[in-house]
Amino acid sequence: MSATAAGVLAGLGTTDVPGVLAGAAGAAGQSVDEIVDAIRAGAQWTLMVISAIILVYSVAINTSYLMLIFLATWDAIDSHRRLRFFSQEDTYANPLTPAISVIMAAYNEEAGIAESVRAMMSMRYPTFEVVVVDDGSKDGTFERLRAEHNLVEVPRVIPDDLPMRGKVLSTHVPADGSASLLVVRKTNSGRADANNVGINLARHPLVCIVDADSLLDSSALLQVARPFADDPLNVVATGGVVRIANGCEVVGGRVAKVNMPRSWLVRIQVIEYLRAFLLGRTGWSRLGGLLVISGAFGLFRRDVLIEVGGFDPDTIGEDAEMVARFHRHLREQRRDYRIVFVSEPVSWTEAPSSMAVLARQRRRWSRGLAELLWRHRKMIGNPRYGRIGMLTLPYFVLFELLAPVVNLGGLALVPIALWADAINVEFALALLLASYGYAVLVGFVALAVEEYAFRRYNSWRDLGVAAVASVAENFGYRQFNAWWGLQGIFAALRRTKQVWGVMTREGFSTPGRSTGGNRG
Amino acid sequence: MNSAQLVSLSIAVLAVAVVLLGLVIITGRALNRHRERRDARLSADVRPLLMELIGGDNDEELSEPLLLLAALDERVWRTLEPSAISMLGKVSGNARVALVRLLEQRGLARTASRDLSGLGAVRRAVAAHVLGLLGHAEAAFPLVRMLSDRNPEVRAAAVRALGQVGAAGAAGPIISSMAGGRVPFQLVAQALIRLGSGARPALVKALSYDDPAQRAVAVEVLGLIGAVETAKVLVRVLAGDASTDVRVRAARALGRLGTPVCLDALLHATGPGHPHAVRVEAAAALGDLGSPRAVPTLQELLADPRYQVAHNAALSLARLGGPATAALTETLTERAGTSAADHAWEALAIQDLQAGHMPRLPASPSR
Repeated sequence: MSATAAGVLAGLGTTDVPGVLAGAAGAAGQSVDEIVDAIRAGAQWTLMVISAIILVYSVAINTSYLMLIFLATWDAIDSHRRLRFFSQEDTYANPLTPAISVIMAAYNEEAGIAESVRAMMSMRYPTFEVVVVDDGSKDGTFERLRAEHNLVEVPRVIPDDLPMRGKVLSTHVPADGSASLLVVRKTNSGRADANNVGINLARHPLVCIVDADSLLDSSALLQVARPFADDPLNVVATGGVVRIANGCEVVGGRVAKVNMPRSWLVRIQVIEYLRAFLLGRTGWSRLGGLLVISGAFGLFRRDVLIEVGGFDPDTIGEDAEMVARFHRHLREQRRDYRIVFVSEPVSWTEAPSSMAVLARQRRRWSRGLAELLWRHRKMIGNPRYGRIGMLTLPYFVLFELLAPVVNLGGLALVPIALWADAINVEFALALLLASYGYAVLVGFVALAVEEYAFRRYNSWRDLGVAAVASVAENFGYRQFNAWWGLQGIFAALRRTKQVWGVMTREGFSTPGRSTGGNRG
Repeated sequence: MNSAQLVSLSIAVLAVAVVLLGLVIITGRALNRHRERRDARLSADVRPLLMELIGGDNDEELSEPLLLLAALDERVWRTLEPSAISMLGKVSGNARVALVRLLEQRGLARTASRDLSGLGAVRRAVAAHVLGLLGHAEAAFPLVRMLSDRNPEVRAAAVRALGQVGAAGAAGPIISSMAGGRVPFQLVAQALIRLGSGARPALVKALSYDDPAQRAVAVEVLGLIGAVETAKVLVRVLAGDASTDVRVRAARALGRLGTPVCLDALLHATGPGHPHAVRVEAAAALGDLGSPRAVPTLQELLADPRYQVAHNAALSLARLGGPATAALTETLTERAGTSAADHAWEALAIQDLQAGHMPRLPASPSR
């Protein structure tokens, strides 16, 4: 096989390096034609080398996805085995199950906040409180909450465990004395700072960060808290799966029926979330190198959040940056710890359904990653930081940060290389195969795991749509994604002003309502 | 093989792999649906019998469904068994007795006892789980053996099952099984709580173990099961255990026990000579304990420079009701403009809400 692989590589072109160098060396005393030939040969050789790098890169990145999916499969099998002899009732009935403070930072969430908070307060968990931080909303977010829960103002002393930029204006609780809801009004200072205010006011040892518009499965807290119960000394953070709610039927703030979205743009994101967020992160968790816990659903030990200084309001990807800081701090202190991803409890979120909003989101993600890697560059390849330093961060540099560069570079250079005879048709086909064919295969493996392990999409039609979306993802969507990623990297390099951007929401479909439950 | 052939072969392999995966997905879904439909069909006629069994009030009402279910064809029973086992954990009283009788008649206890020595870890864990749900007392000894199983999930299932079986003699081995984090803390605590007073001797003995996790679980459980006769021992733990975590748990336990000796120890533990975490917990435990004698100390703690100590003191004062109100009002006037007054405002607001009034607010908040 290696001989035949050499055959494909032989298709890279006929230019030999020494020849190029010799040509270049002797160029000064030769004719213009010879100089042009030497330059052409040099360009051919460069194109040939880049094409080879892209081929190897494509095989490596898809193989890495495949390996992460296999690790996630192993995890899913374990979870399913455990279902036969483990009941959530054990966690629910246990008086030592740690209490949770759920922090919901809200900015202009008037349309959906009442339903979200109501759903959150009816979560199945023994002891928890909900802390809503109204981050200076300009709409009626607070008024909706006040009317819904009959809120009254109470004087609360605000601890300063974490620094706060915004000024707390007032604190409110339900007039019936129920202590499970606290609403904090503050001046606008961004989501990260709002979360820090919520953490300061949290009464319980575990803090769950969720988006104000997230829809959680009713048992999500029980499941995401289970690693803390199993290994209370070592587990410092857990992350839950975020899935896409577009197209799903929502009743009372809960996803009642899972459907594929109607738009192909969102359908492709469903597949992307499945492969990259669910299976990818489960795989990383299995390796002990989880770097990203989504800000839409993560559970942290409050004392460790305080130790590391809370969320950083100066970074745009504050959720991943926080997890990187957890790793850094705990490694530097030489403490045993675990950060775990739990594949079953689900937080449902609305994904962008327009190109403009998706572009903003992806630029932000890419910029956040670039900033994170730059800020924690000391950890990259540093054995002191264990798997996170030696495996996860180098992987993120190579296969997450640089992927847009290679993707777009390949797209632009391969046709030129073909035209310039730097590579032959067979090699170009091999490149396409490694990049796109292999990616389709990875998508189908992810679909198979979804089908056997989670089975969230029940209709045959949804299955067919998912299969088509797995293929379609590679044609257009991937290239746009790479472009936005590249823009995000440039924004990080130029250090332009960070803008979160407005997420235009279309709302969820609610049976019995003609207009749906619009969420703003 | 030349390069063109290699590329063609790769395309073909990929295409075949994608098609095969598609078939695997479709076949898996089709088989699963078929199985679900078949199970639903098979269990549809007999499921009402199960409901009748757990809904029956006396032996006469139970005998017919019990006989019918016990005599069910094995194939039909297999579709019903998971529901019956799952219900076992959710029902009590007559319904539970009836279900246990049915499952024992179906030979579940016998099979599970045999499976405890099975080769597969899942089989052993499921067996321990089932025996626990059945409360099968004869399984206690083999379950204790499972505490040293090589698989952590089997050990966890055995701990849980021993608690459900109620084998008080297993308390010692259960606590020992924690060594080196081999069984989750919470599971051990829950099992020991289920064992109740029978576990007390083993729990008191564990207070002198070297492993702080074992001491911590013992302290926590003694508080939760209300072992008031152990209060003096717990006071000694609060005063002098080498682990701060164990001392914190001792403070919590003493708050739950609530005897006079607990009160004195907790009041002392709020003093500046104790670790911060212990002081925080002691201030909260005084609220659990509910004695008006704690009011002066808690009032002083309102001025503590550490937020969490002052905050917990305020919450405890709010819980102490009438006797604390005067102290809180006094703090407002005597320490106006200080953080102690802020904490007092917060406590008074909680009392107002509990009394069904609008909470009082400071005229010009010093927050």
